[in-house]
Amino acid sequence: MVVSVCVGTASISLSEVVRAIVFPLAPEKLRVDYFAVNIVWNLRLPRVVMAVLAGACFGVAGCILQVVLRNPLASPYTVGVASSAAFGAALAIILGAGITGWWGQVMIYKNPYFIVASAFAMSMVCSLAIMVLSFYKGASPGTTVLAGIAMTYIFSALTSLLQYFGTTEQVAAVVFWTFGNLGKAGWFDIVLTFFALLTLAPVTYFLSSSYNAVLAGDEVAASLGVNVRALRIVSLAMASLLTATPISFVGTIGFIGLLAPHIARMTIGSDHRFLIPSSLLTGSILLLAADTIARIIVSPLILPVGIVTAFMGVPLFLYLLLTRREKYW
Amino acid sequence: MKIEVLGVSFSYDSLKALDNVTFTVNPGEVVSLLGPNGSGKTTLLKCICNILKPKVGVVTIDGKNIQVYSRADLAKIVGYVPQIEDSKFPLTVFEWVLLGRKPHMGIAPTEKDIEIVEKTIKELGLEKLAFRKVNELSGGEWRKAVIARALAQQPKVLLLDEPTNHLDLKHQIEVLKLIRNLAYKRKIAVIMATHDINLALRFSDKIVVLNKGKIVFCGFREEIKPAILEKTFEVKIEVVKDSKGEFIVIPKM
Repeated sequence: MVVSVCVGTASISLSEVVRAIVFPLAPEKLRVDYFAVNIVWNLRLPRVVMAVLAGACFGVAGCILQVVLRNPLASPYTVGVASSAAFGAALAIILGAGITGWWGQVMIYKNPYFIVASAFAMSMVCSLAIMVLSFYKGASPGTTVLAGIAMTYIFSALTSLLQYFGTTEQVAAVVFWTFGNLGKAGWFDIVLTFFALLTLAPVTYFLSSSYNAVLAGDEVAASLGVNVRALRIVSLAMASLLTATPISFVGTIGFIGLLAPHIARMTIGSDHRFLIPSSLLTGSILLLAADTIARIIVSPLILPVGIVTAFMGVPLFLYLLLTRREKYW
Repeated sequence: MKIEVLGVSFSYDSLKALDNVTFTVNPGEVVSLLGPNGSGKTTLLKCICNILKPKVGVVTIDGKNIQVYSRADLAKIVGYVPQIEDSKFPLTVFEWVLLGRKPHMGIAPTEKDIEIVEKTIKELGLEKLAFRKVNELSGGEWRKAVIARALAQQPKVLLLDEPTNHLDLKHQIEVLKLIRNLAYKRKIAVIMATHDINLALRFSDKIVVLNKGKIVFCGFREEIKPAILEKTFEVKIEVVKDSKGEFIVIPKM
Protein backbone atom coordinates (compact mmCIF):
# COMPACT_ATOMS: atom_id res chain seq x y z
CA MET A 1 0.00 0.00 0.00
CA VAL A 2 2.78 2.38 0.94
CA VAL A 3 4.61 1.66 -2.28
CA SER A 4 1.43 2.31 -4.19
CA VAL A 5 1.16 5.68 -2.49
CA CYS A 6 4.71 6.52 -3.64
CA VAL A 7 4.20 6.02 -7.34
CA GLY A 8 2.33 8.33 -9.63
CA THR A 9 2.75 11.44 -11.68
CA ALA A 10 4.77 13.15 -8.96
CA SER A 11 7.04 10.61 -7.39
CA ILE A 12 7.49 10.89 -3.68
CA SER A 13 10.11 8.93 -1.79
CA LEU A 14 9.14 6.16 0.58
CA SER A 15 10.34 7.99 3.66
CA GLU A 16 8.49 11.11 2.61
CA VAL A 17 5.31 9.12 2.23
CA VAL A 18 5.66 7.57 5.67
CA ARG A 19 6.37 10.95 7.19
CA ALA A 20 3.43 12.48 5.34
CA ILE A 21 1.09 9.74 6.54
CA VAL A 22 2.02 10.13 10.20
CA PHE A 23 2.27 13.90 9.87
CA PRO A 24 -1.15 14.71 11.39
CA LEU A 25 -0.20 12.76 14.52
CA ALA A 26 2.72 15.00 15.32
CA PRO A 27 2.66 18.11 13.12
CA GLU A 28 5.23 19.99 15.25
CA LYS A 29 7.90 17.33 15.35
CA LEU A 30 8.08 16.31 11.69
CA ARG A 31 9.65 18.34 8.96
CA VAL A 32 7.68 17.52 5.85
CA ASP A 33 7.09 19.01 2.49
CA TYR A 34 3.51 20.33 2.54
CA PHE A 35 3.26 19.55 -1.13
CA ALA A 36 3.91 15.87 -0.32
CA VAL A 37 1.44 15.90 2.58
CA ASN A 38 -1.17 17.34 0.31
CA ILE A 39 -0.62 14.78 -2.44
CA VAL A 40 -0.51 11.88 0.00
CA TRP A 41 -3.54 12.78 2.06
CA ASN A 42 -5.76 14.27 -0.60
CA LEU A 43 -4.83 12.40 -3.76
CA ARG A 44 -2.93 9.20 -3.24
CA LEU A 45 -4.04 7.81 0.10
CA PRO A 46 -7.82 8.01 -0.51
CA ARG A 47 -7.27 6.32 -3.83
CA VAL A 48 -5.19 3.52 -2.38
CA VAL A 49 -7.46 2.95 0.60
CA MET A 50 -10.51 2.95 -1.66
CA ALA A 51 -8.82 0.44 -3.98
CA VAL A 52 -8.20 -1.88 -1.06
CA LEU A 53 -11.73 -1.51 0.33
CA ALA A 54 -13.56 -1.69 -2.97
CA GLY A 55 -11.48 -4.70 -4.06
CA ALA A 56 -12.34 -6.41 -0.80
CA CYS A 57 -16.05 -5.68 -1.25
CA PHE A 58 -16.04 -7.01 -4.81
CA GLY A 59 -14.11 -10.13 -3.77
CA VAL A 60 -16.53 -11.05 -0.99
CA ALA A 61 -19.63 -10.19 -3.05
CA GLY A 62 -18.43 -12.29 -6.00
CA CYS A 63 -17.52 -15.18 -3.74
CA ILE A 64 -20.92 -15.47 -2.05
CA LEU A 65 -22.83 -14.94 -5.31
CA GLN A 66 -20.89 -17.67 -7.09
CA VAL A 67 -21.78 -20.16 -4.38
CA VAL A 68 -25.44 -19.27 -3.81
CA LEU A 69 -26.13 -19.09 -7.54
CA ARG A 70 -23.86 -22.11 -8.06
CA ASN A 71 -22.58 -20.43 -11.19
CA PRO A 72 -18.92 -19.79 -12.02
CA LEU A 73 -19.92 -16.83 -14.19
CA ALA A 74 -21.73 -15.08 -11.38
CA SER A 75 -20.30 -11.81 -10.22
CA PRO A 76 -21.81 -8.72 -8.64
CA TYR A 77 -22.65 -7.66 -12.18
CA THR A 78 -24.65 -10.78 -12.95
CA VAL A 79 -27.31 -9.45 -10.62
CA GLY A 80 -27.52 -6.21 -12.55
CA VAL A 81 -25.83 -3.97 -10.02
CA ALA A 82 -23.42 -2.40 -12.48
CA SER A 83 -25.84 -1.56 -15.26
CA SER A 84 -28.44 -0.22 -12.86
CA ALA A 85 -25.86 1.95 -11.09
CA ALA A 86 -24.69 3.21 -14.48
CA PHE A 87 -28.29 4.02 -15.33
CA GLY A 88 -28.66 5.88 -12.04
CA ALA A 89 -25.55 7.89 -12.77
CA ALA A 90 -26.68 8.61 -16.33
CA LEU A 91 -30.06 9.68 -15.04
CA ALA A 92 -28.43 12.12 -12.67
CA ILE A 93 -26.00 13.41 -15.27
CA ILE A 94 -28.38 13.76 -18.21
CA LEU A 95 -31.89 14.21 -16.85
CA GLY A 96 -30.78 16.09 -13.76
CA ALA A 97 -29.05 18.63 -15.93
CA GLY A 98 -31.80 18.58 -18.55
CA ILE A 99 -34.67 19.26 -16.21
CA THR A 100 -33.08 21.78 -13.94
CA GLY A 101 -30.92 23.44 -16.54
CA TRP A 102 -28.29 25.75 -15.18
CA TRP A 103 -29.22 25.04 -11.60
CA GLY A 104 -28.93 21.32 -12.22
CA GLN A 105 -25.45 21.73 -13.61
CA VAL A 106 -24.41 23.63 -10.56
CA MET A 107 -25.98 21.08 -8.33
CA ILE A 108 -24.18 18.23 -10.04
CA TYR A 109 -20.79 19.85 -10.13
CA LYS A 110 -21.08 21.31 -6.68
CA ASN A 111 -22.69 18.20 -5.29
CA PRO A 112 -21.37 15.01 -6.84
CA TYR A 113 -23.38 13.08 -4.30
CA PHE A 114 -26.41 13.58 -6.47
CA ILE A 115 -24.90 11.10 -8.94
CA VAL A 116 -23.79 8.83 -6.12
CA ALA A 117 -27.24 8.76 -4.54
CA SER A 118 -28.95 8.18 -7.86
CA ALA A 119 -26.56 5.34 -8.79
CA PHE A 120 -26.99 3.71 -5.40
CA ALA A 121 -30.78 4.07 -5.45
CA MET A 122 -31.04 2.51 -8.91
CA SER A 123 -28.85 -0.45 -8.01
CA MET A 124 -31.02 -1.06 -4.95
CA VAL A 125 -34.17 -0.90 -7.08
CA CYS A 126 -32.62 -3.46 -9.42
CA SER A 127 -31.52 -5.79 -6.61
CA LEU A 128 -34.93 -5.60 -5.00
CA ALA A 129 -36.60 -6.43 -8.30
CA ILE A 130 -34.36 -9.46 -8.73
CA MET A 131 -34.95 -10.59 -5.16
CA VAL A 132 -38.72 -10.29 -5.51
CA LEU A 133 -38.71 -12.10 -8.87
CA SER A 134 -36.55 -14.95 -7.68
CA PHE A 135 -38.43 -15.20 -4.38
CA TYR A 136 -41.68 -15.77 -6.25
CA LYS A 137 -40.12 -18.51 -8.31
CA GLY A 138 -38.59 -20.30 -5.33
CA ALA A 139 -35.20 -18.56 -5.57
CA SER A 140 -33.57 -21.23 -7.72
CA PRO A 141 -30.11 -20.32 -9.05
CA GLY A 142 -31.29 -20.43 -12.67
CA THR A 143 -34.20 -18.01 -12.20
CA THR A 144 -32.07 -15.60 -10.22
CA VAL A 145 -29.34 -15.48 -12.86
CA LEU A 146 -31.92 -15.03 -15.62
CA ALA A 147 -33.71 -12.30 -13.68
CA GLY A 148 -30.33 -10.60 -13.19
CA ILE A 149 -29.52 -10.77 -16.88
CA ALA A 150 -32.98 -9.44 -17.79
CA MET A 151 -32.45 -6.50 -15.44
CA THR A 152 -28.99 -5.85 -16.88
CA TYR A 153 -30.48 -5.57 -20.35
CA ILE A 154 -33.34 -3.33 -19.26
CA PHE A 155 -31.02 -0.92 -17.48
CA SER A 156 -28.48 -0.93 -20.32
CA ALA A 157 -31.28 -0.10 -22.74
CA LEU A 158 -32.49 2.69 -20.49
CA THR A 159 -28.97 4.09 -20.27
CA SER A 160 -28.64 3.98 -24.05
CA LEU A 161 -31.97 5.73 -24.37
CA LEU A 162 -30.78 8.51 -22.07
CA GLN A 163 -27.50 8.78 -23.95
CA TYR A 164 -29.41 9.08 -27.20
CA PHE A 165 -31.09 12.22 -25.88
CA GLY A 166 -28.06 13.60 -24.04
CA THR A 167 -25.59 16.20 -25.27
CA THR A 168 -22.08 15.19 -26.27
CA GLU A 169 -20.63 16.39 -22.96
CA GLN A 170 -23.23 14.54 -20.97
CA VAL A 171 -22.70 11.32 -22.90
CA ALA A 172 -18.96 11.68 -22.39
CA ALA A 173 -19.53 12.14 -18.66
CA VAL A 174 -21.70 8.99 -18.53
CA VAL A 175 -19.14 6.95 -20.45
CA PHE A 176 -16.35 8.23 -18.25
CA TRP A 177 -18.37 7.26 -15.18
CA THR A 178 -18.71 3.68 -16.44
CA PHE A 179 -14.93 3.37 -16.80
CA GLY A 180 -14.54 3.56 -13.06
CA ASN A 181 -12.16 5.99 -11.46
CA LEU A 182 -10.76 5.50 -7.99
CA GLY A 183 -9.52 9.08 -8.03
CA LYS A 184 -13.05 10.25 -7.29
CA ALA A 185 -13.00 8.71 -3.83
CA GLY A 186 -13.02 11.06 -0.87
CA TRP A 187 -12.60 10.22 2.79
CA PHE A 188 -16.34 10.29 3.42
CA ASP A 189 -16.87 7.71 0.66
CA ILE A 190 -14.14 5.60 2.16
CA VAL A 191 -15.74 5.65 5.60
CA LEU A 192 -19.08 4.53 4.15
CA THR A 193 -17.49 1.74 2.10
CA PHE A 194 -15.46 0.65 5.10
CA PHE A 195 -18.64 0.57 7.17
CA ALA A 196 -20.37 -1.65 4.57
CA LEU A 197 -17.42 -4.02 4.51
CA LEU A 198 -17.05 -4.03 8.28
CA THR A 199 -20.68 -4.96 8.87
CA LEU A 200 -21.27 -7.39 6.01
CA ALA A 201 -17.99 -9.30 5.63
CA PRO A 202 -18.22 -10.81 9.16
CA VAL A 203 -21.80 -11.88 8.42
CA THR A 204 -20.67 -13.72 5.29
CA TYR A 205 -17.90 -15.36 7.30
CA PHE A 206 -20.42 -16.36 9.96
CA LEU A 207 -22.50 -18.03 7.24
CA SER A 208 -19.51 -19.87 5.76
CA SER A 209 -20.62 -23.32 6.96
CA SER A 210 -24.02 -22.74 5.33
CA TYR A 211 -22.29 -21.78 2.08
CA ASN A 212 -20.30 -25.00 2.30
CA ALA A 213 -23.53 -26.95 2.70
CA VAL A 214 -25.00 -25.27 -0.38
CA LEU A 215 -22.08 -26.71 -2.39
CA ALA A 216 -23.76 -30.09 -1.91
CA GLY A 217 -26.97 -28.89 -3.59
CA ASP A 218 -30.15 -27.26 -2.34
CA GLU A 219 -31.86 -30.38 -1.04
CA VAL A 220 -28.84 -31.64 0.83
CA ALA A 221 -28.25 -28.18 2.30
CA ALA A 222 -31.87 -28.17 3.44
CA SER A 223 -31.43 -31.59 5.02
CA LEU A 224 -28.37 -30.18 6.82
CA GLY A 225 -30.50 -27.47 8.36
CA VAL A 226 -29.90 -24.58 5.95
CA ASN A 227 -32.82 -22.43 4.83
CA VAL A 228 -31.53 -22.19 1.29
CA ARG A 229 -34.10 -19.73 0.01
CA ALA A 230 -33.44 -17.28 2.82
CA LEU A 231 -29.69 -17.72 2.47
CA ARG A 232 -29.90 -16.96 -1.23
CA ILE A 233 -31.99 -13.81 -0.75
CA VAL A 234 -29.84 -12.54 2.13
CA SER A 235 -26.67 -13.20 0.13
CA LEU A 236 -28.09 -11.34 -2.87
CA ALA A 237 -28.88 -8.39 -0.63
CA MET A 238 -25.44 -8.42 0.97
CA ALA A 239 -23.63 -8.75 -2.35
CA SER A 240 -25.69 -5.90 -3.82
CA LEU A 241 -24.86 -3.62 -0.92
CA LEU A 242 -21.19 -4.59 -0.96
CA THR A 243 -20.98 -3.78 -4.66
CA ALA A 244 -23.33 -0.82 -4.93
CA THR A 245 -21.63 1.12 -2.15
CA PRO A 246 -18.17 1.38 -3.72
CA ILE A 247 -19.31 1.62 -7.34
CA SER A 248 -21.68 4.46 -6.59
CA PHE A 249 -18.62 6.44 -5.52
CA VAL A 250 -16.05 5.31 -8.05
CA GLY A 251 -18.05 4.05 -11.04
CA THR A 252 -18.18 0.52 -12.38
CA ILE A 253 -15.05 -1.53 -11.99
CA GLY A 254 -15.38 -4.90 -13.64
CA PHE A 255 -13.72 -8.29 -13.36
CA ILE A 256 -12.51 -8.10 -9.75
CA GLY A 257 -15.74 -9.59 -8.41
CA LEU A 258 -15.54 -12.38 -10.97
CA LEU A 259 -11.83 -13.10 -10.84
CA ALA A 260 -10.87 -12.68 -7.20
CA PRO A 261 -13.02 -15.58 -5.92
CA HIS A 262 -11.82 -17.84 -8.73
CA ILE A 263 -8.18 -17.08 -8.09
CA ALA A 264 -8.73 -17.63 -4.37
CA ARG A 265 -10.58 -20.90 -5.05
CA MET A 266 -7.80 -22.15 -7.30
CA THR A 267 -5.21 -21.46 -4.66
CA ILE A 268 -6.90 -22.46 -1.42
CA GLY A 269 -9.91 -24.61 -2.31
CA SER A 270 -13.65 -24.40 -1.80
CA ASP A 271 -14.02 -24.32 1.99
CA HIS A 272 -15.71 -20.98 2.60
CA ARG A 273 -14.18 -20.54 6.03
CA PHE A 274 -10.97 -19.84 4.16
CA LEU A 275 -12.34 -18.88 0.78
CA ILE A 276 -14.23 -15.77 1.93
CA PRO A 277 -11.25 -14.11 3.67
CA SER A 278 -8.93 -15.01 0.84
CA SER A 279 -11.35 -13.69 -1.81
CA LEU A 280 -11.44 -10.48 0.19
CA LEU A 281 -7.64 -10.24 0.21
CA THR A 282 -7.29 -11.26 -3.44
CA GLY A 283 -9.83 -8.61 -4.45
CA SER A 284 -7.92 -5.95 -2.53
CA ILE A 285 -4.57 -6.93 -3.96
CA LEU A 286 -5.87 -7.16 -7.53
CA LEU A 287 -7.57 -3.79 -7.48
CA LEU A 288 -4.67 -2.06 -5.76
CA ALA A 289 -2.21 -3.56 -8.23
CA ALA A 290 -4.43 -2.61 -11.17
CA ASP A 291 -4.78 0.94 -9.94
CA THR A 292 -1.05 1.28 -9.31
CA ILE A 293 -0.36 0.11 -12.83
CA ALA A 294 -3.06 2.43 -14.17
CA ARG A 295 -1.23 5.36 -12.62
CA ILE A 296 2.27 4.56 -13.85
CA ILE A 297 1.87 2.82 -17.18
CA VAL A 298 1.35 5.92 -19.32
CA SER A 299 2.36 8.50 -16.69
CA PRO A 300 1.56 11.39 -16.39
CA LEU A 301 -1.77 10.19 -17.76
CA ILE A 302 -3.88 8.09 -15.37
CA LEU A 303 -5.83 5.32 -17.07
CA PRO A 304 -9.28 4.43 -15.74
CA VAL A 305 -8.75 1.45 -13.46
CA GLY A 306 -11.65 -0.47 -14.99
CA ILE A 307 -9.65 -0.85 -18.20
CA VAL A 308 -6.54 -2.07 -16.44
CA THR A 309 -8.36 -4.66 -14.29
CA ALA A 310 -9.40 -6.46 -17.44
CA PHE A 311 -6.00 -6.20 -19.13
CA MET A 312 -4.22 -7.40 -16.04
CA GLY A 313 -6.75 -9.74 -14.49
CA VAL A 314 -7.72 -11.76 -17.52
CA PRO A 315 -4.20 -13.00 -18.46
CA LEU A 316 -3.58 -13.87 -14.80
CA PHE A 317 -6.85 -15.73 -14.70
CA LEU A 318 -6.19 -17.59 -17.94
CA TYR A 319 -2.72 -18.50 -16.74
CA LEU A 320 -4.13 -20.02 -13.56
CA LEU A 321 -6.92 -21.73 -15.46
CA LEU A 322 -4.54 -23.35 -17.92
CA THR A 323 -1.79 -24.35 -15.53
CA ARG A 324 -4.01 -25.94 -12.87
CA ARG A 325 -4.42 -29.62 -13.48
CA GLU A 326 -7.23 -30.36 -11.09
CA LYS A 327 -10.78 -29.36 -11.85
CA TYR A 328 -11.62 -26.64 -9.42
CA TRP A 329 -15.23 -25.94 -10.32
CA MET B 1 -36.73 -42.38 17.31
CA LYS B 2 -40.10 -43.51 16.09
CA ILE B 3 -41.41 -42.14 12.81
CA GLU B 4 -45.09 -42.12 12.00
CA VAL B 5 -46.32 -41.21 8.56
CA LEU B 6 -50.03 -40.48 8.94
CA GLY B 7 -52.32 -40.15 5.93
CA VAL B 8 -49.76 -38.24 3.85
CA SER B 9 -50.84 -37.06 0.38
CA PHE B 10 -48.72 -34.96 -1.93
CA SER B 11 -49.21 -33.64 -5.46
CA TYR B 12 -46.90 -31.89 -7.87
CA ASP B 13 -49.42 -29.40 -9.27
CA SER B 14 -52.13 -31.68 -10.67
CA LEU B 15 -50.05 -34.85 -10.56
CA LYS B 16 -50.81 -36.90 -7.48
CA ALA B 17 -47.58 -38.45 -6.18
CA LEU B 18 -48.65 -39.75 -2.77
CA ASP B 19 -52.13 -40.82 -1.76
CA ASN B 20 -52.98 -41.32 1.90
CA VAL B 21 -49.74 -43.02 2.91
CA THR B 22 -49.61 -44.35 6.47
CA PHE B 23 -46.95 -46.47 8.15
CA THR B 24 -44.73 -46.54 11.22
CA VAL B 25 -41.01 -47.14 11.68
CA ASN B 26 -39.70 -48.03 15.12
CA PRO B 27 -36.24 -47.13 16.42
CA GLY B 28 -33.63 -49.62 15.23
CA GLU B 29 -35.83 -50.79 12.38
CA VAL B 30 -34.84 -50.81 8.71
CA VAL B 31 -37.74 -50.29 6.30
CA SER B 32 -37.37 -50.62 2.54
CA LEU B 33 -39.59 -48.78 0.11
CA LEU B 34 -40.16 -50.79 -3.04
CA GLY B 35 -42.07 -49.78 -6.12
CA PRO B 36 -41.74 -49.08 -9.82
CA ASN B 37 -40.34 -45.82 -11.19
CA GLY B 38 -42.56 -42.88 -10.37
CA SER B 39 -44.39 -44.70 -7.59
CA GLY B 40 -43.61 -41.93 -5.07
CA LYS B 41 -40.66 -43.36 -3.12
CA THR B 42 -38.46 -40.29 -3.43
CA THR B 43 -41.39 -37.94 -2.81
CA LEU B 44 -42.20 -39.84 0.37
CA LEU B 45 -38.61 -39.56 1.63
CA LYS B 46 -38.57 -35.83 0.86
CA CYS B 47 -41.82 -35.38 2.78
CA ILE B 48 -40.31 -37.16 5.78
CA CYS B 49 -37.29 -34.83 5.88
CA ASN B 50 -39.49 -31.77 5.28
CA ILE B 51 -37.96 -30.81 1.93
CA LEU B 52 -41.48 -31.21 0.53
CA LYS B 53 -44.46 -30.29 2.66
CA PRO B 54 -47.40 -32.70 2.33
CA LYS B 55 -50.75 -31.16 1.42
CA VAL B 56 -52.65 -33.55 3.65
CA GLY B 57 -51.47 -35.64 6.59
CA VAL B 58 -48.55 -35.35 8.96
CA VAL B 59 -45.20 -36.93 9.64
CA THR B 60 -44.27 -37.20 13.30
CA ILE B 61 -41.00 -38.07 15.00
CA ASP B 62 -41.54 -39.40 18.52
CA GLY B 63 -45.07 -38.08 18.35
CA LYS B 64 -44.02 -34.53 17.42
CA ASN B 65 -45.06 -33.09 14.05
CA ILE B 66 -41.93 -32.39 11.97
CA GLN B 67 -43.38 -29.04 10.88
CA VAL B 68 -42.90 -27.87 14.47
CA TYR B 69 -39.14 -28.45 14.32
CA SER B 70 -36.94 -25.69 12.95
CA ARG B 71 -34.86 -26.73 9.94
CA ALA B 72 -31.71 -26.66 12.03
CA ASP B 73 -33.22 -28.82 14.80
CA LEU B 74 -34.63 -31.32 12.33
CA ALA B 75 -31.18 -31.61 10.73
CA LYS B 76 -29.80 -32.80 14.08
CA ILE B 77 -32.21 -35.75 13.97
CA VAL B 78 -32.79 -36.61 10.31
CA GLY B 79 -30.06 -37.54 7.83
CA TYR B 80 -30.82 -37.72 4.12
CA VAL B 81 -28.95 -39.30 1.22
CA PRO B 82 -30.50 -38.13 -2.06
CA GLN B 83 -30.83 -40.32 -5.12
CA ILE B 84 -28.42 -38.25 -7.18
CA GLU B 85 -25.97 -35.74 -5.88
CA ASP B 86 -24.44 -34.17 -8.90
CA SER B 87 -22.72 -31.01 -7.79
CA LYS B 88 -19.17 -31.99 -7.05
CA PHE B 89 -17.13 -29.08 -5.81
CA PRO B 90 -13.49 -29.89 -5.20
CA LEU B 91 -13.75 -30.37 -1.47
CA THR B 92 -11.79 -33.30 -0.08
CA VAL B 93 -13.67 -36.40 1.07
CA PHE B 94 -12.86 -35.33 4.62
CA GLU B 95 -14.37 -31.88 4.10
CA TRP B 96 -17.40 -33.44 2.40
CA VAL B 97 -18.07 -35.77 5.32
CA LEU B 98 -17.50 -32.84 7.67
CA LEU B 99 -20.49 -31.11 6.04
CA GLY B 100 -22.57 -33.68 7.89
CA ARG B 101 -21.49 -32.08 11.17
CA LYS B 102 -22.95 -28.74 10.05
CA PRO B 103 -26.16 -29.05 12.14
CA HIS B 104 -24.11 -29.72 15.27
CA MET B 105 -21.34 -27.16 14.92
CA GLY B 106 -20.80 -23.42 14.78
CA ILE B 107 -18.45 -21.85 12.25
CA ALA B 108 -15.50 -24.11 12.96
CA PRO B 109 -15.62 -27.83 13.76
CA THR B 110 -14.64 -28.92 17.27
CA GLU B 111 -12.30 -31.81 18.06
CA LYS B 112 -15.34 -34.00 18.65
CA ASP B 113 -16.64 -33.22 15.16
CA ILE B 114 -13.28 -34.14 13.64
CA GLU B 115 -13.22 -37.36 15.68
CA ILE B 116 -16.68 -38.37 14.47
CA VAL B 117 -15.73 -37.65 10.87
CA GLU B 118 -12.55 -39.72 11.18
CA LYS B 119 -14.50 -42.61 12.69
CA THR B 120 -17.16 -42.50 9.99
CA ILE B 121 -14.56 -42.43 7.23
CA LYS B 122 -12.96 -45.52 8.75
CA GLU B 123 -16.29 -47.31 9.08
CA LEU B 124 -16.88 -46.88 5.37
CA GLY B 125 -13.31 -47.80 4.47
CA LEU B 126 -12.59 -44.42 2.89
CA GLU B 127 -9.34 -43.76 4.80
CA LYS B 128 -7.16 -43.90 1.71
CA LEU B 129 -9.40 -41.44 -0.08
CA ALA B 130 -9.83 -39.01 2.82
CA PHE B 131 -7.75 -36.27 1.22
CA ARG B 132 -8.72 -36.89 -2.37
CA LYS B 133 -10.99 -34.35 -4.02
CA VAL B 134 -14.56 -35.60 -4.37
CA ASN B 135 -14.68 -34.60 -8.04
CA GLU B 136 -11.93 -37.13 -8.72
CA LEU B 137 -13.76 -40.09 -7.18
CA SER B 138 -15.40 -42.97 -9.02
CA GLY B 139 -19.19 -43.25 -8.86
CA GLY B 140 -19.09 -45.86 -6.11
CA GLU B 141 -16.50 -44.07 -3.98
CA TRP B 142 -18.53 -40.91 -4.32
CA ARG B 143 -21.69 -42.71 -3.19
CA LYS B 144 -19.88 -43.93 -0.09
CA ALA B 145 -18.66 -40.40 0.68
CA VAL B 146 -22.26 -39.17 0.48
CA ILE B 147 -23.46 -41.93 2.80
CA ALA B 148 -20.55 -41.14 5.15
CA ARG B 149 -21.73 -37.54 5.31
CA ALA B 150 -25.22 -38.61 6.35
CA LEU B 151 -23.77 -40.96 8.99
CA ALA B 152 -21.46 -38.25 10.35
CA GLN B 153 -24.60 -36.28 11.03
CA GLN B 154 -25.32 -38.98 13.66
CA PRO B 155 -29.01 -38.91 12.88
CA LYS B 156 -31.73 -40.73 14.76
CA VAL B 157 -33.66 -41.10 11.53
CA LEU B 158 -31.82 -42.01 8.34
CA LEU B 159 -33.44 -41.63 4.91
CA LEU B 160 -31.63 -43.26 2.01
CA ASP B 161 -32.71 -42.86 -1.59
CA GLU B 162 -31.24 -45.78 -3.52
CA PRO B 163 -28.13 -45.98 -1.34
CA THR B 164 -26.61 -48.80 -3.37
CA ASN B 165 -26.66 -46.86 -6.65
CA HIS B 166 -23.24 -47.08 -8.37
CA LEU B 167 -21.91 -49.53 -5.79
CA ASP B 168 -20.50 -52.89 -6.84
CA LEU B 169 -21.80 -56.08 -5.22
CA LYS B 170 -19.18 -56.15 -2.46
CA HIS B 171 -19.75 -52.54 -1.50
CA GLN B 172 -23.53 -52.86 -1.69
CA ILE B 173 -23.39 -55.58 0.94
CA GLU B 174 -20.75 -53.78 3.00
CA VAL B 175 -22.71 -50.54 3.13
CA LEU B 176 -26.05 -52.17 3.88
CA LYS B 177 -24.51 -54.35 6.60
CA LEU B 178 -23.01 -51.27 8.20
CA ILE B 179 -26.29 -49.38 8.06
CA ARG B 180 -28.17 -52.36 9.47
CA ASN B 181 -25.70 -52.71 12.37
CA LEU B 182 -25.72 -49.00 13.13
CA ALA B 183 -29.51 -49.04 13.12
CA TYR B 184 -29.51 -51.74 15.79
CA LYS B 185 -26.70 -50.24 17.83
CA ARG B 186 -27.76 -46.61 17.83
CA LYS B 187 -31.50 -47.25 17.56
CA ILE B 188 -31.72 -45.37 14.26
CA ALA B 189 -34.94 -45.64 12.28
CA VAL B 190 -33.86 -46.26 8.68
CA ILE B 191 -36.06 -45.84 5.61
CA MET B 192 -34.52 -46.67 2.27
CA ALA B 193 -35.92 -46.55 -1.21
CA THR B 194 -34.46 -49.22 -3.45
CA HIS B 195 -34.98 -51.10 -6.69
CA ASP B 196 -33.12 -54.18 -5.51
CA ILE B 197 -35.81 -56.46 -4.15
CA ASN B 198 -33.35 -59.09 -2.94
CA LEU B 199 -31.19 -56.66 -1.00
CA ALA B 200 -34.36 -55.14 0.45
CA LEU B 201 -35.58 -58.56 1.57
CA ARG B 202 -32.24 -59.44 3.10
CA PHE B 203 -31.41 -56.23 4.94
CA SER B 204 -34.71 -54.83 6.13
CA ASP B 205 -37.20 -55.68 8.83
CA LYS B 206 -40.21 -54.29 7.07
CA ILE B 207 -41.14 -53.69 3.48
CA VAL B 208 -43.45 -51.00 2.15
CA VAL B 209 -44.53 -51.44 -1.46
CA LEU B 210 -45.79 -48.33 -3.22
CA ASN B 211 -47.64 -48.21 -6.51
CA LYS B 212 -48.90 -44.96 -8.04
CA GLY B 213 -48.53 -43.20 -4.70
CA LYS B 214 -50.54 -45.76 -2.73
CA ILE B 215 -49.31 -48.35 -0.29
CA VAL B 216 -50.10 -51.80 -1.67
CA PHE B 217 -48.20 -53.73 0.97
CA CYS B 218 -46.80 -52.85 4.38
CA GLY B 219 -45.49 -55.51 6.70
CA PHE B 220 -42.66 -57.78 7.76
CA ARG B 221 -40.48 -59.07 4.97
CA GLU B 222 -41.59 -62.69 5.55
CA GLU B 223 -45.18 -61.75 4.84
CA ILE B 224 -44.76 -60.36 1.36
CA LYS B 225 -46.48 -62.39 -1.37
CA PRO B 226 -45.02 -62.82 -4.86
CA ALA B 227 -48.39 -61.87 -6.31
CA ILE B 228 -48.10 -58.35 -4.85
CA LEU B 229 -44.69 -57.85 -6.44
CA GLU B 230 -45.88 -59.31 -9.74
CA LYS B 231 -48.82 -56.96 -9.87
CA THR B 232 -46.81 -53.91 -8.81
CA PHE B 233 -43.84 -54.38 -11.10
CA GLU B 234 -45.84 -55.98 -13.94
CA VAL B 235 -43.39 -58.85 -14.33
CA LYS B 236 -43.72 -62.55 -13.65
CA ILE B 237 -41.41 -63.59 -10.84
CA GLU B 238 -40.18 -66.79 -9.30
CA VAL B 239 -39.27 -67.12 -5.64
CA VAL B 240 -36.59 -69.63 -4.74
CA LYS B 241 -34.83 -70.49 -1.48
CA ASP B 242 -31.05 -70.27 -1.26
CA SER B 243 -28.90 -72.70 0.78
CA LYS B 244 -29.44 -70.65 3.94
CA GLY B 245 -33.19 -70.62 3.52
CA GLU B 246 -33.35 -66.98 2.42
CA PHE B 247 -35.87 -66.13 -0.28
CA ILE B 248 -34.53 -64.92 -3.61
CA VAL B 249 -36.74 -63.22 -6.18
CA ILE B 250 -35.95 -63.96 -9.81
CA PRO B 251 -37.82 -62.27 -12.65
CA LYS B 252 -39.09 -64.63 -15.36
CA MET B 253 -38.16 -63.66 -18.90
